[in-house]
Amino acid sequence: MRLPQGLITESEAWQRDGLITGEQRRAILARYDTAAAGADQASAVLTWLAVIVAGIGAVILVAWNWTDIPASVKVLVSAGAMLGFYAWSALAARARRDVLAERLALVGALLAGGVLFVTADVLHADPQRTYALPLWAAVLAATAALTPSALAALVGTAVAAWAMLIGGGTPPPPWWFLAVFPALAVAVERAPNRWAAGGVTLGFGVWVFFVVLDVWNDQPVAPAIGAVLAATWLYTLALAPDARRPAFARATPALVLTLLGLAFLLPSGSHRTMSDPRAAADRIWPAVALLAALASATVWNVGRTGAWRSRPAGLTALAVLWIIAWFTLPAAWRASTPLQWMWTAVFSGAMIHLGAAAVRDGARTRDVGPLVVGLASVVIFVIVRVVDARSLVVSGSMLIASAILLWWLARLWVRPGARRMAS
Amino acid sequence: VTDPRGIVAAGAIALCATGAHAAYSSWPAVRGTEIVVPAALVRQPVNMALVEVRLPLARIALDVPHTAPPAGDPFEPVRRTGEWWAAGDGTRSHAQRLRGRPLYVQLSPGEPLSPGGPSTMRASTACDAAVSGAINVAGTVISVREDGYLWLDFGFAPIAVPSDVAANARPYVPPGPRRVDAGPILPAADAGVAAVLRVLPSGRVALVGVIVGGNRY
Repeated sequence: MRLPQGLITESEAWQRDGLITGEQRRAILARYDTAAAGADQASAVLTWLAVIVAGIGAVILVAWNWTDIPASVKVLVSAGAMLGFYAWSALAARARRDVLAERLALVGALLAGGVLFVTADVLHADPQRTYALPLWAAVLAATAALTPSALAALVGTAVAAWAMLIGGGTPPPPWWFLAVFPALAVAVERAPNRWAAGGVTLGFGVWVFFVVLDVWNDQPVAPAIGAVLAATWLYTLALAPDARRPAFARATPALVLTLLGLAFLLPSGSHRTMSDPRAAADRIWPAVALLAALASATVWNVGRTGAWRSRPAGLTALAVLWIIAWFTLPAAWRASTPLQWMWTAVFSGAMIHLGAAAVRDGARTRDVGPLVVGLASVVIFVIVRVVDARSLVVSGSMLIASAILLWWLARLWVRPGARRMAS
Repeated sequence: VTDPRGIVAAGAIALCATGAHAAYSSWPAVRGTEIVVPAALVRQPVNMALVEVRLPLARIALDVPHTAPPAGDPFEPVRRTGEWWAAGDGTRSHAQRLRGRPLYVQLSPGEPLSPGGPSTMRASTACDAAVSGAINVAGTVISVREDGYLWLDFGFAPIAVPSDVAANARPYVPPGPRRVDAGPILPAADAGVAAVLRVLPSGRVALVGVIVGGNRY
């Protein structure tokens, strides 16, 4: 029989703790065939190599003859395969083969991307212009939430981040893209997994970065709503520690707020401000009302959970304030209204207060490091604004700062989440 | 625990999403008006009988007073309709703001592609909204120069042509700096080459074929 992984070190610990003697340990290990384990590993490696080589060969064969394959065959084969895998997955779930069902559903959702790209190829349309990637991310997010599947959530997050990175805001993501992240949040709630949770947070960070970039380009309304929705979503996931409630309920507020946001966006036409420069200033008031409502809900959420008492929550609140400041500061600098400058002063005071509280509570250097990065990037922003030297350096520094900040947030989120799961 | 009903629902969502995408993408190709515009074909990095279709419409020169045509470049300014282009102070920030926005180019008949053949269309005006009654082609502004040059993206993917046509296309040039106005301006179209488009009144456009040497692919 194959030697279980970790048994050597585990049995060594048992012997050290006096649970078994050396003789017993040797007898236990003698029950397994280490040579066979090595052969098994070699066999597995060779098998995987063969599968990979065969897969590459199949891809090259199809790609080389791609233009000769009729369009109807391409569409029917890809769509049929997608539906077939979903049906197979449903049958596996019915037979209580959960792992197989989850993997088959993931393959079905991956093939949905294939259908989208094949359709775009057949119609000679740029997939980026027809929102193929955001649609694929939405299908993956829906599959992840409904199956539920942490793996599908992770892949969906990667596709969403890919869509934003290669798009770079041109064309801007469609309005319904806002719903992808709450769906991913629901998936993480239904199938807790620290890697998926961290991945969704980082994907969300990429989204926030491009929201900030849109604001930088003087398109304040819809990105501002997106930023606050995203920040509220982060709050909901990071600061709702009540483990006695159903896990699904922790993501529900984010869904409700997203629906509220869309309800505000659609009648006002504010979602078109990303692509229509004429629909801007006169329609900002619904967005302002939404911001006020969401800010109130956020404050209420923090007060209700008592999260403001804990250091991670305080720092998370600080981070969210920092994110909001990124879209407030440019507007304040341009408009220079007393209200906006007052908000900037309040933000600065809150940052100093929370930073001091974090240090007083014994925060380690790596915990307060992102604060320094955040402050430094704000300083860079102000300097650049003064000298009017917009450049890739600024965008790069914002990206790096956002990445570090979101990595740190992921740590804050994952650790309490992992403790909750363990308990 | 996986839920069979949830997986069925996910499959239904996937089917709806892919079906809606197919319907949305194919709508201009099915319902649009067919037009022919001059074009240039560019080979792909991998030789798979696929070519990229580039349109002269993708770079337009506005009729702003300070536009200076580059040496050797045919200068055919496009008239502005509406107040979407700001001249003078604030042109730079305005130009930056235009990036990522749609711009609608109105076309008018030009030279015939071949004697007795269909007329190729040329850009006559540009507006920030579709003009009723005109043939509109909507592109996304990807780059703006302050002296009135705009680069548009129409969102076409490569199209399959016979191998010999692909071999005679322009060589592939790897993408350079993101500022497309930094490099030299290439000739806009190849002789005897045209793109066959279908356009909706809203300006949405689909590439349905190319004409090379009188043969349509």
